[in-house]
Amino acid sequence: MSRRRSVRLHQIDEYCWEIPPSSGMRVPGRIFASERLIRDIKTDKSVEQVANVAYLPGIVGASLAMPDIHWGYGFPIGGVAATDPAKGGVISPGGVGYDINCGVRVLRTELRKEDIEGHVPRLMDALFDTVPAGIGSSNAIKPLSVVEMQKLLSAGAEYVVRDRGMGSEEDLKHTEENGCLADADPGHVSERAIERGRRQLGTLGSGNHFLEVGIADRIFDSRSAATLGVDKGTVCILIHCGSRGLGYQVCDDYLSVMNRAVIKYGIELPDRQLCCAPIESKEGAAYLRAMACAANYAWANRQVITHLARKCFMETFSIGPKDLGMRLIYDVCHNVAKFEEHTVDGQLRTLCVHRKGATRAFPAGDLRIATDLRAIGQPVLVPGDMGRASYVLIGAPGALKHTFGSTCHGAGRVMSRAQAKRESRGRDLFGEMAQRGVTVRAAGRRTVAEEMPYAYKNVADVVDVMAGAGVSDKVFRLKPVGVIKG
Amino acid sequence: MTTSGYREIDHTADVGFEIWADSIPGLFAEAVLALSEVCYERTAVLWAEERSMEVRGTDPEEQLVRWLQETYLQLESGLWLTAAATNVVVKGEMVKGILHGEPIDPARHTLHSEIKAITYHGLKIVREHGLWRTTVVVDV
Repeated sequence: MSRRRSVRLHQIDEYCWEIPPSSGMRVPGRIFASERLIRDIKTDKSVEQVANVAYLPGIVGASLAMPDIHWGYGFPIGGVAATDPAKGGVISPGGVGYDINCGVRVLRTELRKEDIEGHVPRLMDALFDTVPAGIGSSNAIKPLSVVEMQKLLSAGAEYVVRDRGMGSEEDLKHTEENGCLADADPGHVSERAIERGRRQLGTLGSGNHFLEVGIADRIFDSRSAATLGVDKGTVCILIHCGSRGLGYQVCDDYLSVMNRAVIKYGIELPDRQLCCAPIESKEGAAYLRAMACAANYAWANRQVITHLARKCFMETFSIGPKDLGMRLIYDVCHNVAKFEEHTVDGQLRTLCVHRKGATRAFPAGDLRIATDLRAIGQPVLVPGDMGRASYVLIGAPGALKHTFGSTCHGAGRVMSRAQAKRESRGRDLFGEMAQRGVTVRAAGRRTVAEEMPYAYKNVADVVDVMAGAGVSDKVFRLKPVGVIKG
Repeated sequence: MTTSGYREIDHTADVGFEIWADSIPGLFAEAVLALSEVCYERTAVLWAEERSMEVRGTDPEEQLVRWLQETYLQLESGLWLTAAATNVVVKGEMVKGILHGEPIDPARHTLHSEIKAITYHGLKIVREHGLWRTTVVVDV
């Protein structure tokens, strides 16, 4: 691996650090962080990766990073880059990631904290038995035929709700893009990708993916929380996963295409993982159509898991759907590239916004938000580590001014997986989590070791930076009581 | 340092390995061992069956990525664990070899983590002090 290159960083205001453009960088880099967070950020190669992203042709404004930034591959995790198709702007699969439309959804219920006390282990057993997790997880539902897969890739969560009866129109309304990216064309998805996806619908996978049951324990904005159907003591469910093997294969397939495209179009990049093609090129257009299919698969996947979770809750507590009241608060993607209109230097431009470990965060009044949420702003779901807390935020006006309508997506790792495993040796990890009041069910001990709370930044520090910068505001906090890990 | 081997390196979000061998085919065989460490307890996997594997790539880095992707798919799609790779041959754009392993037996095998992909991040195969070396970052 290449040696670390020195990158200058200077503070421009309380919450923002800038990397001035140097040779090859077309725009500056900007990292949103506090004094405390920037010290950790400087310890890995993520700052260098912010500078590398600034090399992309057609990048607009700045190569941005949210406060949960950490070292990824190509793009940093927590990176945002907007490119202009009209000015030779590129699309980079590395700016989306392998797990296309990895994302989070949060559901609220009519259940209160006291309703589930004493039942959490039984509930987590039921969820663990029903939602496949871990390596090679598959067959949550009957495998789809190739024809069914093609319908799903075109229609996303709509296919699961309307053709398979797994969910409601209300679920679609509260999913980013209503659960379906336009321009999806299954003709640009390889047979191997479709084959990998056929058996994996409704599964979590492993790594940092999870299904979590939590209690709203702090309300910061009672008006917005009430609009979302939450008050102190409300039981909620978080689901974090993506497009599974289908999305990974789409990314792999198009990295090969893009590796040739950079030679064809004479694009010079500091890291091969940033390979890209002009949005207006044949290669760029094909990737965008395939990426939309993978994004649609991910929304369908989270919708099927939602359906399975609803069944588990109803069976465990012997209640019907009305008493359960499990309604989708919102579903956001945090690995995606989308065309959005943004005002740059007073001009409205259509840009391709890459969010690699970053979440869309449109403010109140934005016409792109569902009508029943428009008065408060778009909900943003920020999972923390499995022992501390997660946050529900809403987009604020500063997001459109500073970050192309983007905010953070999680706590962000502070410790490598190798170091986290070393720290866990000889420890009763499940017992430690139980002492914190969290019941953990996992397919493997090693994943739990890598995902222990000490491996992550404190998510409270991350969301406070975004609030301080005027990008997103806190609505409520969720304290986990049960977690399923892959 | 031995003439072939691998070691895990610190990477914040994902898993990285430094791999070395005295030949390119040896490097590809070692990379299979490194990859298996991420996914399962390799020492418990028997050499009970053989599978031939062949991939193509336009340069050594693309060949290595595709070689490891194909090895991983034996597990994800075929529920088959690889213990080792032998008879690796690299000729022009082609890489071929024999995988040794067996189907997953939940009673004997401990599975760890799924992988999403073998990345190109910082990937470069180089020759240093008589050994072939590379660093592979795996997205998990």
